[in-house]
Amino acid sequence: MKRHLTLIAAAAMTLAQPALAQDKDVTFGFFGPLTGPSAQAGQSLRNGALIAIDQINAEGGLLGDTVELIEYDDRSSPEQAVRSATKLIQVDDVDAIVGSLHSGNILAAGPEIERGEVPLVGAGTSPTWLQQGYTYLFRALGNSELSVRQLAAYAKQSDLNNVAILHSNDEYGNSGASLFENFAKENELTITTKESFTHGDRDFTGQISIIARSAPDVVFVWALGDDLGPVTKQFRQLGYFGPIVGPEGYTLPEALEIAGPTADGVVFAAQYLIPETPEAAGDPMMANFLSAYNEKYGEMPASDNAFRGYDAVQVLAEGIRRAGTTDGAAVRDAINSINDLQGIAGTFDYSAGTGEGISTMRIYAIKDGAYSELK
Amino acid sequence: MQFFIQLAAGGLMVGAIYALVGMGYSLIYRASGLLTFAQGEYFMLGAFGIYTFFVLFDLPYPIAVIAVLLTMVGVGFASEKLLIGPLLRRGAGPIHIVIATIGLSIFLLNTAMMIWGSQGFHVPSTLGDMPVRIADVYLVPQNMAIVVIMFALMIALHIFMNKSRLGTTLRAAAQDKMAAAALGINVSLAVGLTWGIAVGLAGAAGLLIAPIYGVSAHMGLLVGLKGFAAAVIGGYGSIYGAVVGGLLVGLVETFTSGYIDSTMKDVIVFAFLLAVLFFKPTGLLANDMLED
Repeated sequence: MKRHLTLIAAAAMTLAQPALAQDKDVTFGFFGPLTGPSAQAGQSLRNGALIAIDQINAEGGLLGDTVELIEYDDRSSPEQAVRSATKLIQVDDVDAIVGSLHSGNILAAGPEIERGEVPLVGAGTSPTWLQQGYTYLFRALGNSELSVRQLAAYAKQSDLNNVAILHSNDEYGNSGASLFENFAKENELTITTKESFTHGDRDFTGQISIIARSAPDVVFVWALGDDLGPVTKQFRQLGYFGPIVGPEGYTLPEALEIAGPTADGVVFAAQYLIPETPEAAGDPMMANFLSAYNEKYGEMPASDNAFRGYDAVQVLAEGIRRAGTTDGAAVRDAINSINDLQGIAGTFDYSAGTGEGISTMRIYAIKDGAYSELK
Repeated sequence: MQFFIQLAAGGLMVGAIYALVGMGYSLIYRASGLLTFAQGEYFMLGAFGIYTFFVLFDLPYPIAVIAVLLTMVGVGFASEKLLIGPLLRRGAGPIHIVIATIGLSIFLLNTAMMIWGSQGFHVPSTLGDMPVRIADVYLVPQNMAIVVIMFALMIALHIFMNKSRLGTTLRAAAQDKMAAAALGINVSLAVGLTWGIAVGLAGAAGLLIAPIYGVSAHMGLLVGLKGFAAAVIGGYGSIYGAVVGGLLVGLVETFTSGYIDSTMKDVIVFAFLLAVLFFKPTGLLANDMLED
């Protein structure tokens, strides 16, 4: 009897093994600002990722497993981002990570991600975090270097040769400003003055008075979306009525609302815009995504980070499919082999091996509270 | 010259905001000998108040303003009755009140984020956003109105405190609670009302600045700190000192930003505060501060 029991136990265990393996989900991690001033953007990022995950699961999951998302709030703080990333890698043992949308946070979490050998697709646009030599970091859209280069070219083409710079003195603002200075040199534009302010500050009298006094043809502004409304308004209130070129933060509804008619004459670079309705989206992939988003969340996304989250999951999923495993190094190499994956941002091509997948940005103008694309 | 005037105009406006917030700090200190750190968040609530009444509820502007002011006075009164008063009765010392108001400010900040959200909101200006141009200087009507209203409120407060019966009652209660009570003054009401007025002033600053700065949950942090600096520079406990201090802070800040370096703005303001404390710790204006 005892011998039979041992045999039965052994047989049961070997039969149980595949069943256990099937129960193990593929887990994606997420960290981003779910609370705080960038909460709308962070929640959009997470929601977009969830839409992609729902679609993947509806089609059978990844490698036969259901995909689940473990999310953490990085509270827009680099320290919290590092904690979140560490937890995701060391405790939750995730297979891939989406996030953050703050480039400073991705930069801070970089060493941990690289050490943990978990591929991460991030939504921040500052070029810096892909210039450190990390091999496990990838980007879900074009970076701000593309935006700035195209804006500098636009200024040159429009014969706006004297440029004043106003930027926020955080990582985002500083990197945008120094990028512009480089491209200005390339395009032979003159910088009349360069001023900065603290993110969240609301009085720019000093900075804008200096800029207005320097009589520029165009002003280059680089700051996060919540600063752009007050900045744009105060330019007009302090007597500068000329053109302004700036970042994708101008797609944030609150920026347009606070600036109101003072936003006329703003030109900015962005990967994509959120249309009024899903049907109004020119691209069928964006239209399908927005319908699904509307159905799940009952509203249109508040921020284009929703598109970034969706594309990020698609890239990671494709990498896992091509690798045939969730092993970090294999997935990373698989992502680097992608050269024609369709996403909402465009066609992803990671074959250059830098982690950058998108190489063109769109330029939009604001007039009467509406956006129009400049070709 | 135009540059100087432009900067001065901006400095006076931002200074008027610090003055209003600072007046509240000094008033509370005058009335109860207590330090508070929640004025910044009351300022933020005033801004959300005008957003709620004027934009969300779509009330006519004058009615919305009255509603905000009454609400803020009520909130100040309630703060004293529900938090400060009970703590004092339990034997709390000034430092405990300081910590309590810090906690209160964190509570108010997060409650605001929960109620309205953490993004920015827009309140249209009844005077229009666009500036008037006077000899190459651009002045926004709303900004000028803020400076005028601040002085009007300062004068109104002076008249109220010195010429009205209720105001004299408040001063009596502030000077000596026991003697005032012995004279039949309702000290509890007086202290509560003083807190109410102080918070009302911060709320007024918030509702005035809302069309200019926009409204967001974090808008009170730095303003609260600079309003405090304004009160200290002017002489903590002196209403007029708070006005002088506020305008000085605003001008120092804006001139630094225009003539020296915009990144040094806050550093120089707080260095100025330290300098005043070093050379004249009681503040610039002579005043009879309450002893602890």
